[in-house]
Amino acid sequence: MTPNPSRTRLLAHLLAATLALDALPASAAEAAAPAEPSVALLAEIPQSNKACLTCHGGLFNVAAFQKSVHKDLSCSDCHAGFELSAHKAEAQELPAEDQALLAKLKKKSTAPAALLSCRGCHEEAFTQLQGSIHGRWLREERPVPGPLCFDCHGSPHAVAPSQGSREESIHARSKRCVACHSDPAYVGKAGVDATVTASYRDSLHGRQVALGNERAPNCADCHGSHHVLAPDNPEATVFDAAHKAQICSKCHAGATASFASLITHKSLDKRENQGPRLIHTFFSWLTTLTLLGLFVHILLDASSEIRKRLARAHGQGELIPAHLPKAVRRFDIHQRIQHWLMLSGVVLLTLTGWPVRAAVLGPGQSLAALLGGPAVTALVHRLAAFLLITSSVYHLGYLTWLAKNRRLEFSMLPTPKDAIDAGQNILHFLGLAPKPKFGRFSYVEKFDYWAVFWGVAIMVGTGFVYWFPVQFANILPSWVIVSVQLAHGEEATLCALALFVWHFYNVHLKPSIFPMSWTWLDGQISIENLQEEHALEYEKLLAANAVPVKEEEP
Amino acid sequence: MQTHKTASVIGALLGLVAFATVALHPALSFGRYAGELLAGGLFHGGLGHGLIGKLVVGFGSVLGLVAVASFFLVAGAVTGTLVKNLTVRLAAPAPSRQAAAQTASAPKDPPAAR
Repeated sequence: MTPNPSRTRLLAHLLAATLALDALPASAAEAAAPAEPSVALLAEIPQSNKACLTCHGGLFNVAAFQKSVHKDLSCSDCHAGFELSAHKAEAQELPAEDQALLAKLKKKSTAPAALLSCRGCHEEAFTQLQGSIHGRWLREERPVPGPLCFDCHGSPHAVAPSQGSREESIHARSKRCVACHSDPAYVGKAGVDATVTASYRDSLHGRQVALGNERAPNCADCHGSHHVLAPDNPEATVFDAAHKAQICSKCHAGATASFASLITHKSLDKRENQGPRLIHTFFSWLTTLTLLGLFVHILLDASSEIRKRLARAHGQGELIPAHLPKAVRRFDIHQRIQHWLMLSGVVLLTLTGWPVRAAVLGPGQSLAALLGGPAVTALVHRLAAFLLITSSVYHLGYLTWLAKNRRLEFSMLPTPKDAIDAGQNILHFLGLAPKPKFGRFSYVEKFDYWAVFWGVAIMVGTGFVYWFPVQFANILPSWVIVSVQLAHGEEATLCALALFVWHFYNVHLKPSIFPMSWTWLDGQISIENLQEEHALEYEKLLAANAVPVKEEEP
Repeated sequence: MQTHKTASVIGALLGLVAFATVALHPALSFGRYAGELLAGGLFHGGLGHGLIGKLVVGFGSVLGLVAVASFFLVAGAVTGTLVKNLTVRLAAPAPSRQAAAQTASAPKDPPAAR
């Protein structure tokens, strides 16, 4: 990188007019306390720079400068015209256009000529910037100045060579864009839509960038960098759906205008079609009210169980007859395998899905890293979806087989008794009614079972749309796809919380079962639990004399 | 497979300790975030910062804590019992292991409760 000598000379006089060298724009690197250059470091510094550093060495991080891409430049290559003797240079006339440009640059820096000298080496980038939307303030009067080189690349005294991965690069660049575009004070004056960055952050692209996915696009990948143009400019990369489709197809082969229209950077309430917003509202209410109801049920149940335990401790509880067997079979091996597949699938889906859902959070990013990074997380997520689908297919096949052999009992079908049982059980929790007698499956288990039907249908259906967005965009309007993608995340939240809070409490953690039930592993239920939780089933067994003889533990 | 309740309880307690050590903050963080998403959907920002919005966020935080703690408790209990089963099997003398293997291979499920 060699400075243009003629331009450097041209700038000499201007630099002399900007003697406030100490007020160069501060970058994060410079903001930190400048480190004292070591002896070894000083040995590497050119003699001409040493003279400058005698006075100015404490004003920026010399060590960072020596590692930067500009380390081979002399101070006067940019701060042209200065000499140790008198800080003076010969006065030279600048072209009128450069004088106007310099006047603009003074709005951003007290060393505008040094900024202008960036052009000496980076002329193409500088020219593109001047013609871009970011350079509009250099061409015409604007309420606030736009960005310059150092706003995106950091201080010229600390521009590190790009030795890091693309992951680090996209993180850093995205943050620089977001820094201005999400600053309420700045975007207000500049007339920029402040919701754009929030929309990008919440999008799948933004989340993948947050997780460190090297393939995920940052702002510049779609909008360009130095030559970024306003979206209403016909030459902009994102001018219309056709332009956008070209950009999308760089990563999504076969992307169409319909697919490209999925990305609008508009919040839900500002979109033309309100379908996605309604879906978001529907799931928010569904999730909140469902979880609230389940949580209250848990609290009532727990308090009732604790009271019951205390009563038994005082000898007031029912005693189990000693001659009864310890356990009876509740689930056969097919049902248990279906449950294991479902359990593995859902736990893995939750573990690998939540980092993406909560990618803006540090713990979400840490969890994704712990699981092997975003690519591994995505792969495991799809494999887990396969487990879930296998479990569902197995179950449907199993039901069909039972029906064919006339062994299907329909004991999971909801009946009016379930509603009555639910009401009576709540009264029982409050000590106002006896505990209802449940059959093979209580209303709690029926709720779980049918919730899984609903959940699997939604999660698998919407998951495939997430998985193959280009193909689905060809047959579905974009608002449907956006709605479906919203439903995937929101239903996942409901499923995960219901599973780990409600289901785990009812089958493992309630006081009468704590610390866990083994039914899901060995298929058996203790006779105490059968009598307590499935009284009608227990009575039916007794009546049929079907309670087996007690088995010895191996 | 024996249930080994004591081992399950010890495992569950260790799971709880693990939760408190490594997962308390993430659980709270995830729960709060879920609450914020719900509040945003319920009120579209209108009441999101009001009392009801804060209650929803608080509710989400509680659910996050309970959900992750439940997972660690159950995972700990399962691990505790599996470790105990494994230890017992490995500690048993060879003839006993053979007998145990034969017992394990024999069908032992009690009749179904239908």
